[in-house]
Amino acid sequence: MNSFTDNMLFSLFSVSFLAGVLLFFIPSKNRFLPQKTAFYLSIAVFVTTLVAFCMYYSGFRPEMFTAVIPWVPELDLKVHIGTDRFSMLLILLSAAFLPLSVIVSRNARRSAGFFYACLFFLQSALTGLFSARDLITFYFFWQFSVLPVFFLTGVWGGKGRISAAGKFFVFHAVSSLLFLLGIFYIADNVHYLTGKWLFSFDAVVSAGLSATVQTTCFMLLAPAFFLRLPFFPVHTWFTGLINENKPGANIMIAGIFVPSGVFAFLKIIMILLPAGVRFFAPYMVYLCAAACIYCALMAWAVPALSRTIAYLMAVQYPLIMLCLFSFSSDTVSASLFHMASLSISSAVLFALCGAIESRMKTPMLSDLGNLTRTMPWFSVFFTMAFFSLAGVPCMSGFAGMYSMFTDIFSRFPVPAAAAFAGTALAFICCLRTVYNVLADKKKTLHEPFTDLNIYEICSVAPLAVLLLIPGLFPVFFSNAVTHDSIICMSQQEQSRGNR
Amino acid sequence: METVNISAMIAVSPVFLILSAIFVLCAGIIKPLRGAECYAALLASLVALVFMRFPATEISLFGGLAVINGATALVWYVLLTALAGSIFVSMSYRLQHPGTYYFLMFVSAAASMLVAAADNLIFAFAASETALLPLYFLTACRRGRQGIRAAYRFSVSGILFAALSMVGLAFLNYSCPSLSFTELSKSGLPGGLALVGFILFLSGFTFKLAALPFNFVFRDVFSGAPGAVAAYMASAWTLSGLPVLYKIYSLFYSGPVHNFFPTVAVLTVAAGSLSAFYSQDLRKTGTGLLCAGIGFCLLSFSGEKGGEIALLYHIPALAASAAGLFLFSLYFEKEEIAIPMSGLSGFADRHPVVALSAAVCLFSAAGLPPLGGFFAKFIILFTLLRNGHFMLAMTGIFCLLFSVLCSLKLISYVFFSNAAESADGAVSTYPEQKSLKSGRNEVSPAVNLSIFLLAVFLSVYGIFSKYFLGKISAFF
Repeated sequence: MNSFTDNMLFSLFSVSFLAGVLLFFIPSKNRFLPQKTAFYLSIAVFVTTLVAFCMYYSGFRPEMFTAVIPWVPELDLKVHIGTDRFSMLLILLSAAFLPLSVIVSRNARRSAGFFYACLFFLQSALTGLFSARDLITFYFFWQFSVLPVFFLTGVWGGKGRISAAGKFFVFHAVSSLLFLLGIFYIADNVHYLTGKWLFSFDAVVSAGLSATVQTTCFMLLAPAFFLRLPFFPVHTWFTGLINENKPGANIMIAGIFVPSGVFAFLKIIMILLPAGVRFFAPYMVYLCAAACIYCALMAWAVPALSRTIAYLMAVQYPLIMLCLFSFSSDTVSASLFHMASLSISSAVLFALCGAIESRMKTPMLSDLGNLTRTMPWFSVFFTMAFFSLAGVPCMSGFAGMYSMFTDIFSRFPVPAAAAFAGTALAFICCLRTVYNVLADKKKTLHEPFTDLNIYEICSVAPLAVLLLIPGLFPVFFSNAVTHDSIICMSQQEQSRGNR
Repeated sequence: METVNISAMIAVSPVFLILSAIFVLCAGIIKPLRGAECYAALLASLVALVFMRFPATEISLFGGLAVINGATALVWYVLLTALAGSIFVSMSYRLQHPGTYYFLMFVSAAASMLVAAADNLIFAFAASETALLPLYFLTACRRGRQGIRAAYRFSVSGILFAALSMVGLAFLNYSCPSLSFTELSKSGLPGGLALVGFILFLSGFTFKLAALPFNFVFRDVFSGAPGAVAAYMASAWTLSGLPVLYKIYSLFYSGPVHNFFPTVAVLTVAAGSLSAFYSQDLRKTGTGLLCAGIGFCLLSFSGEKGGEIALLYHIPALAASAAGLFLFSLYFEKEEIAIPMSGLSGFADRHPVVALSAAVCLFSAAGLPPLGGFFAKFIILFTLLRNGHFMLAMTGIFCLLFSVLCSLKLISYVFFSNAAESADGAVSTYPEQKSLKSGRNEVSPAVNLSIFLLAVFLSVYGIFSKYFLGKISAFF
């Protein structure tokens, strides 16, 4: 495979990117034209990705999913792209969230074409990010994915959008430049060890960087990834962004942009810099635990529904990180499984937030109540998503959370207990939110809301089913990520061995 | 034989430009051609551009005073494109003496082409001064008192540094038998008078590049000059000096002259980025970003062979982004007023395509993906790393941060400000917008088209960087 055009991953990236370009030039005067075009294009992107996903899983022409292409031969710079099951799953999820975000954002009027274009550019950038197999390509897509989010927030956000977008951009700019510095430091050391300028993940693993170098690189690279997660104490951009953004943008941000931080941590930090992770793990696990408790308490305190969901998500990511620090393939696979589940539940929740917002301008928790009677479909999906987020049995969130806690309690008892306390608080907060929004009969709404329409039901229902089935058959679905986590751990062992 | 003939056509370009200059100057006195100077100028610049070819072999001009190779041809392409673009944009200007205006532009462009091809220090100096002289007049041609003040500062400092260069050349001429680069490289490391000569010459010549400390002069010059002239100067004239400086850098592998460049480069990048970051004026921000970009070009010198590729890849990206930013400023151009960034509020609501195109130029100048500027800066930093200049690369990265943050400021004004209330409905007009709108000059469609084309170029240049880098690598 020696060209981009024969590569399926490149095609997936290009389809979304070109769709974004097309949408940008669609005149927004006709309100329905950008919306309809975006919807059909998002379906096309999803179908293409689904076909690619099926091809990959069936093992059909595997050479179409990997490529090493010379970029600047004079400088030995090459582009490495490839995929594995976990990456493919994330690519599929990003494509699945696209039609959902388009449907939820149907009320976007101002520069609607540009808005939808940003969603497509974000999906395209994340597809590239999940396909990257070398540090330069990864950095390129990492940076590229920041721009659509910046515009989505700054242009279409609420009243505090400028400060939210500014904070997001400044945080990401600083951490990204540290990331770039880290890449150069890695490359310099790989060159010192091998005599070649190599950036591919495999080459860095094979080079066997020293523990000191890995620790230094961890300090340079980790801030970027922790920031995106979002990780306490640099999580404030996330809650601010979620609060200001349109729900359609939130679906993409919370559903797939944020999980890309976990992906980056797994693929770069865990595999390339295991010594750095081991050095910092004893301290980081306590930070993870503190983050769980802090975010759970914040989830109780915030008045807006979207912000509550954001904090409830921010409880789960430190928990996932805690599992990644355990270095056990079982725990890693459980955390990846949980991340996929979290991604879906957050997408569903923000889609429902969007549905509420389209009917009522400010979805504050204090203004919502007793929606079960007027919005039965909404209530069903809302309950399912919140239960999954909370980790109620039979939901996909439970399966991942159960496996994670059983393992981390044996490895880090004190941080695990603290994280458990945070998760328990979040659990109660979830139940309280569900009760307040759906069943609190003391609140009387000024006007009854109409239930979800057919488009909303059709777009949310498949994702809601995805929240249920993995909870009922966890073994089948966890196999999808177990394979990758075993490979990840074996690569990590190889990296340690080389050192 | 035929290939050589076609390649040799490139050598005709400066002569063709001079002839065109004379033609447009005389067009004013030929009755049927009166008023058509701009079309004649545009046609001539396009013809020069269309007939440009990359030479198959190195072509020597004027008895070895100038040499044209692939790298020179690339710079010439950039120059001619900038010239054609500036003429295209200037067509909307109501000029008192259009013939003179286009004459000056052609002369400056032709001389800048010779600067880029110069293989001799005296020739480089003479061409550089010839290119500079018309720009003093062009700076003042349209913008009243502000333009005249800018031209005055420009000419005074230009003459001062020309004098410095001339003294340097005199010293060099006294110490070295010949001032051609081939001979200079044979004469070994300069010492004593020759060293003083080099330092003086370089001090004067870096003025042309708006390198530190001259970036502060250029802040005023670019603020005062008409938009089209500022765009031309930023994208063509300043960059045409880079090949000469690279040749001087390549003369020696150590010593003070060699070490002069990384030092100036780092200071220029830092000063440019910081100045862009702190400026509250669109033109000054553009100048700061241009200065930072030129600093990156100077940094690429330390990247040796890879650095050459990086430099040549960076030049078109930098030219396009700088031109885009200065053309964008035309939207806010009004005599005697600065262009405060607060005046950009809500611009994207009125001109979404132009706003996004300007954003593309800005992001490219700041080094954000997937644009040409990102790849150019990345390759420059990588070649520095390859050659063991880790600290230089690190400094470049830290300075990039300020450029990136500067883009945040500008984008916030263009896209985000004053749009809160109109987020869900029709665009609302604010008193501030109204006053700016009423006080602003009408912008011709040529400006829209130019900015859009520049943005498309920067995107294509970045996305298909592999193709362009392959073409550039073929020069070596």
